[in-house]
Amino acid sequence: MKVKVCFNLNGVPTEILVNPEMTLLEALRDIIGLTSPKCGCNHGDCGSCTVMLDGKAVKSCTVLAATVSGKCVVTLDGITPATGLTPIQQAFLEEGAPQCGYCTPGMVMAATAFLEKNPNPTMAEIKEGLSGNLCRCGGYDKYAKAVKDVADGKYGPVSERSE
Amino acid sequence: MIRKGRGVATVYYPSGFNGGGDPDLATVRMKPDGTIDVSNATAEHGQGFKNVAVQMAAEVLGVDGDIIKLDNYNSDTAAFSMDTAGSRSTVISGGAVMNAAKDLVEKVKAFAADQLGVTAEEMDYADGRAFVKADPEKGMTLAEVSGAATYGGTMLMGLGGWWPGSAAPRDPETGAQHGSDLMSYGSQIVDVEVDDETGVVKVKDMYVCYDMGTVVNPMQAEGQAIGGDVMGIGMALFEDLAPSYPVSMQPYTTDFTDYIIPTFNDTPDIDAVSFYENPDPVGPFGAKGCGEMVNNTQPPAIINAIYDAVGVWIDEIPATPEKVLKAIREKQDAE
Amino acid sequence: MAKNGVGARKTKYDGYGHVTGKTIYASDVKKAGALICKVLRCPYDKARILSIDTSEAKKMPGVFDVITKDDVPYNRFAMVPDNHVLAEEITRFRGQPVAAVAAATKEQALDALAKIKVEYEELPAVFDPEEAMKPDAPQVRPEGNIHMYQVGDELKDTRIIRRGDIEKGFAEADYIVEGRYKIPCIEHAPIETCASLAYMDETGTLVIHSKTQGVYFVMGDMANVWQLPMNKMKFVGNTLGGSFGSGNSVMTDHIAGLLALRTGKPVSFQLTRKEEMMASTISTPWIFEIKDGVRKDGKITARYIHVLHDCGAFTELGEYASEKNANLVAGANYIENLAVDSQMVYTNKPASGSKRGFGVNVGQFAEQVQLNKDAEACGISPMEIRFINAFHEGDHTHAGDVLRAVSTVETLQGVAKMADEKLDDKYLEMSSREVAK
Repeated sequence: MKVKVCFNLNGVPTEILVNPEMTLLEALRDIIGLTSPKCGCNHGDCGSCTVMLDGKAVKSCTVLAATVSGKCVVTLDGITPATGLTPIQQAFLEEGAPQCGYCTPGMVMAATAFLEKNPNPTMAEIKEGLSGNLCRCGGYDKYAKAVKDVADGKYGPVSERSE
Repeated sequence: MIRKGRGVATVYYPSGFNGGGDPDLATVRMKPDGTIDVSNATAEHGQGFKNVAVQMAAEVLGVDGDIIKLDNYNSDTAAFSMDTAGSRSTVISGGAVMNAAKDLVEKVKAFAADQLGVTAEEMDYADGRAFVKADPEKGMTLAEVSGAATYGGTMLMGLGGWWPGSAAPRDPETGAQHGSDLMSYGSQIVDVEVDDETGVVKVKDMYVCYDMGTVVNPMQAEGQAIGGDVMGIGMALFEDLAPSYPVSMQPYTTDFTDYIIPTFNDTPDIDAVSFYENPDPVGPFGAKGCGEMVNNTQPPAIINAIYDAVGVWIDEIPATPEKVLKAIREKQDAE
Repeated sequence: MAKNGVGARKTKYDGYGHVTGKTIYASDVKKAGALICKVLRCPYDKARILSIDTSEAKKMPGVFDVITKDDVPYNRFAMVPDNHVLAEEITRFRGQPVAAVAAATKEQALDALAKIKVEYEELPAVFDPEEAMKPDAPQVRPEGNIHMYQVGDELKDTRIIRRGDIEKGFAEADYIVEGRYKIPCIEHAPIETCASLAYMDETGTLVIHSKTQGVYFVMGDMANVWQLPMNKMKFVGNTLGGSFGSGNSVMTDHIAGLLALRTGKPVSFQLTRKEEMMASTISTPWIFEIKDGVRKDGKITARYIHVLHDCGAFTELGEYASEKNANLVAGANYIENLAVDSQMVYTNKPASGSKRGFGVNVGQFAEQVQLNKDAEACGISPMEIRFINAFHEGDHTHAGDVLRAVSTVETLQGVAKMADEKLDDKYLEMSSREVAK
């Protein structure tokens, strides 16, 4: 039996039919076709599927799609400006943090959510805050420094997230 | 109590397949406005080959890398690449792109010479423009050449290849073989803290100095280096798919909950990278490979640092807390 | 003047796509109507397949195809083509693909897998490479457990490297230092798991969006498996979500491609994380035994290394790794008298794949820890022993190549300065460029 799910996706009212056991990640990638949330483990371990659910960063492989009815889901597509980049995106790009890039969408989402909660973090807090996101290329140092530079204002004010 | 230790390691690493014989081919051509299309099928898995191809082509053609595109997409359109492996992309794929760009320069010079009514030998090329040596004002830009060639029905395409030679069979008596003579070098110092009550090892600081020849893109090379450090920490301290091997292959770790790869929290406080650029006379622009060398020094340097800290050798990696603690206890019992 | 040329800190070519999620990886490629492929894997370390019955699975709803080894045009593949696309009579490791299903949905594919009846006879397996070397060990493969190397016109069980006179070297030594080092099973663990999307295009060409490290590297191999000419297949590669060597071994292309050829429909096959861990190639174990002869002044006068590479169940890239390791295992040290005996043995575990640094970083781990033990034996510092034995310009590699643009000494000096490690003047003044001994 499929379940109807009505939710707001990146500002657009969206209606889909899902199997009850389908995860939000599977719904986004396989039904809607948004592939910015990546699937690295489908197990809540790697963080590459991180999206915002009602303003909170979640690993979308650990959320059942059927439970997001009436909620707001924002993927990386929803925070990327029409032209240019957010400060975090800009910092990751300019400081060469992504290597293969597969963890990067999740990293942008996690870092964005983290800085909203903690706009003036120490390096230790950044590392702890992002430690749920794995990067096998090992770009952690550049990611962490980029987040710090954003927090320090080197990439301008952190703009309001679009809903 | 926390005990501090320091370890060092020095390594070298060849570029290209062992025994050679792994060619790459490339093409470089122009759109009608003089922007550039490079083709080579090297897969990009994060190593940064796309930048290497574009930056090397920009260097040869004397143009802005931003006007260059790379087609590495598929086996119908992209020129042959042997593989992404063996730290070969920068040297061999990059070398093929460099040669193809040089070939395009010669073809541009010949075409412009014909248009200008002089011989190719009378032409020179610099900064995206072919011109008459004796009268540098007289010349054609890449855009002018490409426009005239394209709409005049002439195909201008630079062709290039790179072949590192192929080894003869090994000498049966000595095992001697032409393995590889294009070598990168690196040395690392690691500072660790070992808790002698829990066996937990924390990598505090890492310093590494690499010779990867001419560094084509320092930002990417740093990325490789710190990434290699992180992967090396995993190899030294955490990673083991079958902890009961060789007795059994069970339990076998099947997810990131059980198979521990380094996280943000496992990175050193200082991860300092420097380059000693000793150009290779054969490598394109003096470059050497780097992708795998950066994943060599960490395990021995960390194991050497653990010995410096607590006086035990962990000869079977990974140096898990259990192994370190067991070794410390055995040492204490022996004393 | 070139801009953004060699030496520039140019941002990543496709970095915009990485930070915005616009970069498309093989696992992101979708095709309407694509069937989902799932693979039945052997639950034993070693077994004999007595029978396979796919008749019920084929009748399951949504199922378009169920294949076993008999359905594969040519069932052998890999760099050394001894691997089986789908298991033959004897399976060799837990997780080996036995049968594959293509169905309309993931759930239907999994339901069909459960209906495939396989009768196994579990057989004794061997995991320990040293046990596997013994004559009475369980046989991993019919050719025998010990890998045979081509030496001249003969096949021999050991790859040897010989330089100088090892006995003379040991006789000159003041200390003999011995060590034994072991490397475990290590997984590449790229964050994107291996994936293929296969379909027939408008020209009847089999198109594979593949997470391969070399679109041309696998083409000849797959041309064999599918029995197709190269221009009837098109590999689409480009960008991989990490790989670290795993993409040099085919995990999904062969099966996805065959199912697309047989069903005429697009087929999507992506490994789960569990499959990637348990059934893809891995960095298989190594054992190194090193015996060094060292003079009081820290000079290594002789080095003997015995290498045993545990290749796993199939050759894959193990032979290549073993050959490369033999050339480089003695490290960036000038050693006049050297003997390397390298062996490779098959065991019942996933096959030896290439993992970043493969064959080399494992050897240099052993060799670089051993060097510290040498230093301790003669009472000098770990830094000193590296300067004393370092390669210089014009030295020969252990396999006989002449070295150029050598930087052992300079990188040591460089890192010592960075880490504020004090060096004697004689080491500060040393150069890799001095004439070879």
